[in-house]
Amino acid sequence: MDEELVKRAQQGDEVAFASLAVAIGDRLHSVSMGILRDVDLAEDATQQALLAIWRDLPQLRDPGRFQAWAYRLLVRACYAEARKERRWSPKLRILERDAVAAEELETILQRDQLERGFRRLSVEHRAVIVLHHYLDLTLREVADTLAIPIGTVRSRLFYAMRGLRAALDATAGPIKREMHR
Amino acid sequence: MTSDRETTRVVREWVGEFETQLPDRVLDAVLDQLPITPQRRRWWPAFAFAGPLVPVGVAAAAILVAAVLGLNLLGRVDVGGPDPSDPSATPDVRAGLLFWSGRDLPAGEYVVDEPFPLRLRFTVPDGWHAFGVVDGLAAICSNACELPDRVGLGFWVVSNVYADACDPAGEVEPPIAAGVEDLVAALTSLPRHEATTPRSVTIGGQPATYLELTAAAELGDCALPGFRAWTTGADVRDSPPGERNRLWVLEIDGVRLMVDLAIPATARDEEVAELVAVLESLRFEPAGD
Repeated sequence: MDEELVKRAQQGDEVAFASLAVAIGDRLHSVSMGILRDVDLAEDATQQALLAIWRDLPQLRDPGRFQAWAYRLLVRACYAEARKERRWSPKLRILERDAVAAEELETILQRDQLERGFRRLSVEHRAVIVLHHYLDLTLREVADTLAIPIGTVRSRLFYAMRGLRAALDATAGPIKREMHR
Repeated sequence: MTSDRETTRVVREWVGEFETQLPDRVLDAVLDQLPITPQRRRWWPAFAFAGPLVPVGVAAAAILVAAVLGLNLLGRVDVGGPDPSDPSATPDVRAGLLFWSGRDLPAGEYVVDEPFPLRLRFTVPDGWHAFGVVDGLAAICSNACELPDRVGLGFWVVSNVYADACDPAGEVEPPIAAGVEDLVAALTSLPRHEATTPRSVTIGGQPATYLELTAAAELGDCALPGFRAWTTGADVRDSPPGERNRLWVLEIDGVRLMVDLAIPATARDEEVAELVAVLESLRFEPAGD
């Protein structure tokens, strides 16, 4: 990230901030989509996060930490959106079994089960999954980004992965039986 | 049963599909809001001239005496209030503090009023700098109001405090309630600060609750210039490591006011004494007079 842009934006330069927003916008939105699994909620969260980044940018002491700091504000915005009363709309695909090969069917069912399992996780657990497995942050970096102890990150990751594994196992049985029939 | 390795592989492959583009309409909406979204300033940055001249008199009588007296007032917590028998208690006022925003203050008596929700009057010796006046904060300080070494006197209308002193988004949720006791209770629980036991005092002739907060000595991994403590909704307060804050919380005309005497570890006794003397001169006046 261009630290000069960050410094200019800290001084209130809207053009510099627009460049920053373009540079990180897709990545931020991918993370919020990953955590919230809902288009409307994710758009709201990304928008709120970008405005919070603008508003609080003068507070950032080290421009070199801009990206990690931005992710922290984004995750907070995702938490806030997740707490809203709106129902999360399910986005499950309808399977046309005749039109897909068995191997593809297994993949699709697996994805659907993962989606179901992921939605059953708390937003805090999802955030750890997304930061670690999507952004490839180390556990230490996840802890720093979320401002939580690394032990908490390990614990959340363990329980989140256990939940997803259970979802995958729920898929495995029926599919295998179906395929061997 | 799926193995851990297989679960990780499948999950990583799946989250790789999260990649998506930020819709232009979202980005446009953000950029459209920038001009009406003020950035939160550090406490207290140099502040640009922000308002009209509000001359209400000529230079005040010398107030050096008040500053010298202040040396004897370092530990006082009951401060301020008018003395009707003293004719010098109502000297001419130099100007509204708003006019001096971001500038060094000539010695004199100053008024704080709009956009601040209360009308305050106090006397300032030479050598101080005006942060200025905004709707939830009016302040004077040393060292051009730059952190971390400024000594400052701030009048705050606090809307909330922080549950996480290192997170700009870490305000208490739901926000604290509106009473004096609510703010005092929240202050005594601030993370990374130590608080004294609150007690009843007077300031400017008004009953108030007094306490002191001392920020932790090390900033550690905080990415902020100080420990985030409270906010007016627009301005935020960061306490540099080791800073001591003497706080008076009171309610006047339905406004919950907090007076903050901020004393960094590098403060000189003379500076603190001068600000205590400023507090000794403090008067609350009906708004609109």
